Amino acid sequence: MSSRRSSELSGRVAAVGLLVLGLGASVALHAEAATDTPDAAPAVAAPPPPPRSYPARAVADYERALDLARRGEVTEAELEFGQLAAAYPQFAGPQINIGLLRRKAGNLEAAEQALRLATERNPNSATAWTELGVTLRMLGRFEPAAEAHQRAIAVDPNHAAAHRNLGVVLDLYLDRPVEALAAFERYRDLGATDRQLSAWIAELKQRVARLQPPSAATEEGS
Amino acid sequence: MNRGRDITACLSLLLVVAALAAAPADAQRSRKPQTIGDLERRQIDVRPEARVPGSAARAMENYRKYLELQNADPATRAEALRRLGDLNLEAGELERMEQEVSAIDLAGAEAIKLYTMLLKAYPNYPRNDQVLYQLARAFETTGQPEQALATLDRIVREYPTVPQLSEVDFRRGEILFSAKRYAEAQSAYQRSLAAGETGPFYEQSLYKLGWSLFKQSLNEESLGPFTDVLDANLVDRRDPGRVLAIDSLKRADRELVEDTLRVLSITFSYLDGADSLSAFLDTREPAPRYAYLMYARLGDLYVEKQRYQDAANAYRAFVARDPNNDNAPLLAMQAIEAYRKGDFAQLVLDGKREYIERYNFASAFWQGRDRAKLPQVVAELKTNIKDVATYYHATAQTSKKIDDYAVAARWYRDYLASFPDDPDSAATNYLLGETLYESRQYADAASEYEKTAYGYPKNERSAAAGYASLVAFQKERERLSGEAQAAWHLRQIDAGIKFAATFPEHPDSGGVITRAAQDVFALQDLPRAIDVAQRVLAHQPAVDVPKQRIAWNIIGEANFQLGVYDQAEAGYLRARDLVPANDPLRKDLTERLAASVYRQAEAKRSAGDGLAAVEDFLRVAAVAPDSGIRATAEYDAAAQLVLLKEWGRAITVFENYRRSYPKDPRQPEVTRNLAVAYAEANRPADAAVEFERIAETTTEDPALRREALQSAADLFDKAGNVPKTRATLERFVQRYPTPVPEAIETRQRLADIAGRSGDAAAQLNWYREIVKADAAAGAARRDRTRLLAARAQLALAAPPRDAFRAIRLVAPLKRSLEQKRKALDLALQAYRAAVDYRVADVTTAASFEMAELYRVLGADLLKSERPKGLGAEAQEQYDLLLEEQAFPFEEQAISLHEINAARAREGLYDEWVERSFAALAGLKPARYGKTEMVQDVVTSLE
Repeated sequence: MSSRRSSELSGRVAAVGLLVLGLGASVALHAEAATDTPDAAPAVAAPPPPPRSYPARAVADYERALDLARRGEVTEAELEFGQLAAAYPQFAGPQINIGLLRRKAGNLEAAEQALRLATERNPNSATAWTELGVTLRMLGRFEPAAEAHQRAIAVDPNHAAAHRNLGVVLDLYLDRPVEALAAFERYRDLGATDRQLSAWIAELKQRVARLQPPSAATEEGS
Repeated sequence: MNRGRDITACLSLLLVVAALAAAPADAQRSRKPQTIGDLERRQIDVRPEARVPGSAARAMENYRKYLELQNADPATRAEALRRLGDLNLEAGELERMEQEVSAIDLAGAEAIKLYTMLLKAYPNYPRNDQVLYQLARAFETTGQPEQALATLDRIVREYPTVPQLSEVDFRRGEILFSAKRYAEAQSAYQRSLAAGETGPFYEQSLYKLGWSLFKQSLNEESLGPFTDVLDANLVDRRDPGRVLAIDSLKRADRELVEDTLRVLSITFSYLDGADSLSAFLDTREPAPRYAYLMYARLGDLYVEKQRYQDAANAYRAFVARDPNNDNAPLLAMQAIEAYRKGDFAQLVLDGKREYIERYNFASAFWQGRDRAKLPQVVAELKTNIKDVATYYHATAQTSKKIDDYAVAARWYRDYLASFPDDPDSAATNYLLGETLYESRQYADAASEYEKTAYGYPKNERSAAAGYASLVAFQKERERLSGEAQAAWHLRQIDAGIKFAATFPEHPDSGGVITRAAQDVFALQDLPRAIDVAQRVLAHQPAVDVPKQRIAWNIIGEANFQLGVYDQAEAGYLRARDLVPANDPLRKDLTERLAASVYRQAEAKRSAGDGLAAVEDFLRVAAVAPDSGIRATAEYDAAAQLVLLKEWGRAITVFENYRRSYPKDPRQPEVTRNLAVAYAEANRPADAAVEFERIAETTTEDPALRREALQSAADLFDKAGNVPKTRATLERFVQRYPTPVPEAIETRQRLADIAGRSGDAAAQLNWYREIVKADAAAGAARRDRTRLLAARAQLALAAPPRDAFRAIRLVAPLKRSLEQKRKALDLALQAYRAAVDYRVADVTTAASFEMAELYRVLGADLLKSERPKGLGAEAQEQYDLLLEEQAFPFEEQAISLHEINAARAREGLYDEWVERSFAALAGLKPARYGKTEMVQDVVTSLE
């Protein structure tokens, strides 16, 4: 009686074992099919940037971390920036650099996380927003990317890079040439002197003109 | 008064002398008379008053000196003479008594001379009656009875009024009786009796009167006087209703009474015995209360004469006459004794039965009587009941008849009812048990034996009785059936236990308690079986080894059945220790021992104490290495270890199991378990071998085999054994082409392995297989198969692409371009096939590749080898021509890349789309060369 039970038992054990082994494979498959999580809606209104004053100690530590980053000592640099971020949660810089280091290493999701945190630490950092926008574009999430650049612009309308970056997303990835053209033009107006810029603007104008009826072109221009 | 004493003394002396003279030897004989003749020599013992011999001699000398004085007063001289004669007579008596002489006493002769002298000298001396009496005495003393009688006769004649006349007549009767002149003696005694009952010689006279009549053969006449003697001695004068006990009488009276009874008995025996006695008594009014003595003595006499029936009749006559007389039981008893002496067995028995009937404690006899005051009657009753019971018991033993035993049993019961507290009752109760047993009343026998064993103070038969009760219990049980038998059996068991507890020293005590334990166990009263078995073990003196073994076995079995397996184990272990090595029982006990350990393990397992369960399972092998269950136990230990995820230990046990029991039917399970255990213990290589074994076991479930083969492959892979991984997977694909999706996955793995191994040909081969399988799958086709097939197809496109790229455009261009175009077509065809799967990432990749094919062709055309010998102008012309040729390819490339890039806006943004963007940035910089402005680091703290 008991031996029969035992054998049933062991049969079950074996089956469980096989199941466990099979499960490993299916987990692997699942990882391949991982899906993106939906993007959080960006905050709308940004408070006016407060006057910034930096603690000397923080500045010194930041410099050291930046040196590490420049020398390519990525891991040490990220650790340093992490400590700074913890010590000075009011500053976005350390967190932005963590995001940049990760993005450079190809770890886009982790980079996005860090940069989002940066925007939370300091929502008035246009740099944080626009670097987030670039990262989101790399991740193929073009609309959120555009919105991030727009947040940067909202925070700092004179942030040139944000205008240019917005222009790239709108033009290449969202096929919104009219807006792209405006962005590039704003970029140009902020004093940009890129050699290709005039070519980019010319090409866009051409395409916009081609796309739009002549009557509408004046509206677009205004 | 003084004189009377003197005469008495003389008479006594006379009789003594007469007795000595007649038969000196008789003095030494028993005092009890044996014959009538003996009786005749008996005398009435009249004691002389004590005198002081010294003072008598002195007085005699004084008187003699006084008489020698001649001047004395005549009266005083006569008195002195008489006193001197008396003293001489007495001195002669004393001397004779001392010397026992028969010669005529000189002092006596002196006395005769003095008295005769006195009578002659003083014929009127007023006390001559006394002188005559003294003279008669002196004559008697000196052996001259005739002169004595003549002298006494002279007193009667000359002094007829003397108050001592009855004494004188008595003396005359005595002399006449001695002379055998019985009629004259009779007369003399009768004269003496005339003085009345108060006279000092009354009883003696009556007695001798009886004798005188008897001597004249006047038997019936003698009865009256004799009986009067008894009346005079035995009837209490103050309380005539009371009989004096013979023993309470003075010796002389006692002897008189005894002699009288004796002669009466003889007399009745001469007549018609008891009938005559009864008839005589009827004439006496009131009937003497001592009649029983008369019957008793008559009976005694008959016994002496060995006339036992007459004796018994005599005794019984009284019993019949006065059955409730105090003495009647004694006579009844004597009657029985007489029968016994006469060897009248039946009469003895009848007598005893009659006795029991008359004198049992319920009889009229005992009304108002106290048993304690009649111990003899009680003792006799006891003896008789017992004798009767014994008789019937003996009879039954001879006849072997059940009814006879039943009768004996009834008598034993009577005995016990009458004498429950008798010292003998235990023994009798035992006998009652025996008779009941023999009469097959086994239940009653058991009960009585038990009473004997336990109801009395312990004695040497107690244990035997206890044991006998067990035998009776057994007999009764054999007789019974059904529920009655079952109930009886329970009682029998109780009896056995009680017996062993009470009589441990009995040689069968150990056996009995052991048997009880077995029976209780057989009845499945398990807790009690354990208890009784423990009694067996505690028994002192200790039971022998086989019984100890039985007890331990019962403890083991009972505990096992009760589920108390640790106790069961202990019991079996002890039992086994007591079995010789070569005994077949040993094997059985080993099995049970193993089972009890096994059950402990099971219990612990059920209770959730898995590790402890394992210890017990493994302990089976330790305590019972030869047991049949050992394999199962080891297996279960290992299985439990698997459950506990104790992989290392589980592996050890299973490996041992595999070695120890190679033919065991559980080997497939062992393999399965080992497979899992090895896998879990991170021994993938070993696990893989086990899974492979499962997969190759044809008796296994096909689904399991398939799964096992796959697991084997996984584990070989994990173990880094590439050849085995490949081989196993190949076997899998070959053996299990369906279900298609899994087979395709496996091919994919094979392709991957080949790729990692650098075996490009094999990899491509598996890709082809994937494409083929997917295409042929029909309804079994899945998104996943399509994905894999698409990727395979994409991979299959790489070789034609590379072949296309490898073709250099050299002069003559036409020919090499032709080759390259063909190669282009092949590559495009392959990529289109990939696109056809409509798998997003494959589509983007294939699109990119196709775009690049065109771009490369365009670029290669521009870079193609120029024909030799062209002039500068021709060269320019040629270049323009090439550009024209290349342009459409470039346009085609841009177009395809743009299609790919446009996918980004559809949400498809992968590596290939990105790369298309990058390509477009090169092909159309103004349109696609726009780049973001990014920073490597942010230097502001922000």
